[in-house]
Amino acid sequence: MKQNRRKFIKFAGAAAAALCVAPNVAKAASGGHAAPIMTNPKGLSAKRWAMVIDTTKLNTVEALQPLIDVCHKIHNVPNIDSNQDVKWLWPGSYEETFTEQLNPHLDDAVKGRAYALLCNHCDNPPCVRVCPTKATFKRPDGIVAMDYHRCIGCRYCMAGCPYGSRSFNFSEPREHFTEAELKELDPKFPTRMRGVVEKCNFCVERLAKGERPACVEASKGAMYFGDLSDPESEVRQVLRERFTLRRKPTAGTEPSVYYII
Amino acid sequence: MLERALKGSPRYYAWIGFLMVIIAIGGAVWINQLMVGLKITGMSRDVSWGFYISQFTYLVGLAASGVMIVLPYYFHKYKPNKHMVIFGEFMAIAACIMCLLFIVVDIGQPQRMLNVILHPTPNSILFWDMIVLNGYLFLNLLCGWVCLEADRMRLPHPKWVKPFIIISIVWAFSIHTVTAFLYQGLPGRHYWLTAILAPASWQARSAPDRPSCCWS
Repeated sequence: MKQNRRKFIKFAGAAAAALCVAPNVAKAASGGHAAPIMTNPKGLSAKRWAMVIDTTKLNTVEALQPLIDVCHKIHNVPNIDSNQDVKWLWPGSYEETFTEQLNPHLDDAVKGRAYALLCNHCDNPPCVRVCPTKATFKRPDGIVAMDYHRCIGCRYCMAGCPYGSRSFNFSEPREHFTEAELKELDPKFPTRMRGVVEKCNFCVERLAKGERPACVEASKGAMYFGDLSDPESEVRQVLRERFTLRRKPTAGTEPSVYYII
Repeated sequence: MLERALKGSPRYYAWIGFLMVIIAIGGAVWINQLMVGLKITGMSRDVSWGFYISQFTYLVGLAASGVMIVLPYYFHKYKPNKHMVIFGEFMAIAACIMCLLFIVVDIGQPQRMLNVILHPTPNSILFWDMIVLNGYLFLNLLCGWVCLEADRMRLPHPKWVKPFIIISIVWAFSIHTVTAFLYQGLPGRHYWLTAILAPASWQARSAPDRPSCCWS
């Protein structure tokens, strides 16, 4: 009799513990729920944001520099002159950009261009897949965003990105600004702390207000930005008319940045 | 039993003193890294993982190789290994603790490391690596401690420990397989982007130099 009661109580305790744990496990497995969002009525929305860069128009480092400057200025990206630099938008050679489309006899014009490189906001992002804390995540509109407060700085995402788009803050970013630059930091966008990874965010803070990304506006028509899933958007129209390449297509990441060659 | 580690000959004290000096130097450098940032490591965007992670990988293999000492007694009933089992387990504990500490010093925000537990991400292999490494540490602590206590009392090892030891032998293969999986699925590291990486790492980690670290 005693043994049966003990067994029953043990079983009941274990069942109660499992009932408490099970919904949390299920919730964790399903990815959790975000807080409710209040959208700005002026904000731009899409099912999958994409960018098309016309490299016949935007193809020198001098032409790219103003775009890089405005991106880094509004996002408070420090200018570090070493291999521990932080970059959201940067120029690359043909060999660096299209590593899978090389041949010994390339067209000189194409080979000599500087290509604008940035995070490709992939549809199948390896960085999101490997992040152990979900600090980097894919938004419903296709943009791969980062939570700098959750990032533990393990740099697994940097190892996963085949495009080198991600930068780690090896040092405190603010120590690379001069006194004057510190006063001019854009207060509308946070500076990051050391020990976290950062990258281009397709200017989500501007999209929420109804503005296009800063580099697209500064490019004066050399960059197109729109909804890839909308057949009538400007990116789909230009993709129908011109031949484009994407970076490292065999990696299977499905990047959202197209280059008109 | 602790007095066996705390009392010894002058040569023993000299050796322990030498090790303490090395630990103090390491501690001072780590505090410098905490204050200044990971820039002192010399890593960059191209070499985003350096000596810290390579040492972590080596020690994962070392921790798993403790199983080579435990296997002969438990699977093949090879009696001479009976009292070396504890040695293998404690070596695995030390190697496991060093693995976890190497991860702690490598990440940019160590005070946030519990985020991996607070926000579990089953699609990330790093999450599973944390689970298997901590599980292996727990298993070895349990088995090693219980067996050592039994030896001190000159009693036979309790029978209930055996299933845990068998689990720890199988678990040892999982820890270095999961660590190899960490590297396998990275499109940014083409040389490792192959399914053969995990079995190839078994071959490397079974190499004689791993368990022989404890023979000396």
